[in-house]
Amino acid sequence: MGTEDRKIKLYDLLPIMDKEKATKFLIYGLLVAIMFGTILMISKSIADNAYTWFLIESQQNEMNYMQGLYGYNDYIVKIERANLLYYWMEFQVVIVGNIARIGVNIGLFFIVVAFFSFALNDQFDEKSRRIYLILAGAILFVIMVTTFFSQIAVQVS
Amino acid sequence: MVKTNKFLKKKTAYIILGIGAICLILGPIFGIVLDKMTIYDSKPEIIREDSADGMTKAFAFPVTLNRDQKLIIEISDFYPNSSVTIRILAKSVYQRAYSLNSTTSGVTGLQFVYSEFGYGTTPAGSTNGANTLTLPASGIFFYIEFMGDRTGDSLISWPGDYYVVVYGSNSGPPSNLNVLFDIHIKVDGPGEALYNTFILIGVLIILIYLMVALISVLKANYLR
Repeated sequence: MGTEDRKIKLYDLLPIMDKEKATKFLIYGLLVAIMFGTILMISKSIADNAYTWFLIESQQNEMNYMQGLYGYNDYIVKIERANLLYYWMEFQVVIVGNIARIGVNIGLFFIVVAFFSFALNDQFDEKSRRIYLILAGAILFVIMVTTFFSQIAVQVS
Repeated sequence: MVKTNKFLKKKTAYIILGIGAICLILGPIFGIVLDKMTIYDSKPEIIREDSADGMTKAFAFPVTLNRDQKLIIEISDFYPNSSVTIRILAKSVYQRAYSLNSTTSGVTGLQFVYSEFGYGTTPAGSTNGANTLTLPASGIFFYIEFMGDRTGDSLISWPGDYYVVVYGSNSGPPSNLNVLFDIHIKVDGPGEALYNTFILIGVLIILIYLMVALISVLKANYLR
């Protein structure tokens, strides 16, 4: 008595928000995706160039020994440390890459929500709303594919 | 206009980023300064000729080594008529020889490696092992590394107490009894550990601040 159970339908949960808030979501999503994407690119670049760094470090180490800055056993220790760092430089892309993937997906999710909101907003004309819906669907597709597969690749042969 | 919170105030930002930058600067400084710690430096060190006859007269410097800590000795003999021999003894061996005033040359030293630096040879090719070295007969300058024992040119860490022992003779006139040499004794310091710690702390401070700052800007401007 006194209370009324209101059945919430699925479409009530859809991200219907005003144009201004949806634009904020779009910008926020883009910023997050760009930020994590940049971090991933930096991480990949470090991993790709790890061996060149190792060669420079080894040469510097050998020259330091030849100049008498330290002895043979310090030289050996520095080689071992350089090896460890080199392996970490190659491996860090796995850790950073997975974190970045989560970050990019969160960013893309915000963009999808924003585009869905645009598509559901009757202030836009029919044609624009259809484009927004297609964009939201495409981004959602990208999120789903990159969740289950490592990447989307288009091969031209 | 971009909204900010108090965490992003200019003064707070300067303080936090400043602490991060200080850590990044202090790391390499500590790394270089404290990489090796000089525990004894004497130019010249003067001993007497009778240092070869009894351990009580020989130059002896005590050193305690921790696990994975290295002892480095730079010894040279550029003085006329002086000839010196260097050995590294375990504390127990030295104390026994000292109490008996044993002949210094009769006590066997522990194994160490020494490097003869120069371009054109590989580091392994210019490093040798020994348990005693005589200057200037074997060379005028030696860079010695010691950890307790060695296998080939690599050192084995035996943490414990040791003595660096030097004795010598003078080939000059009989009245000249002094034996001179230069010696510089160093041990591995906490430089590397401090370097890594400070760099890690500095990078973490800056990264965490930038992340928190970015999130707070986004929250203040786009997520309300």
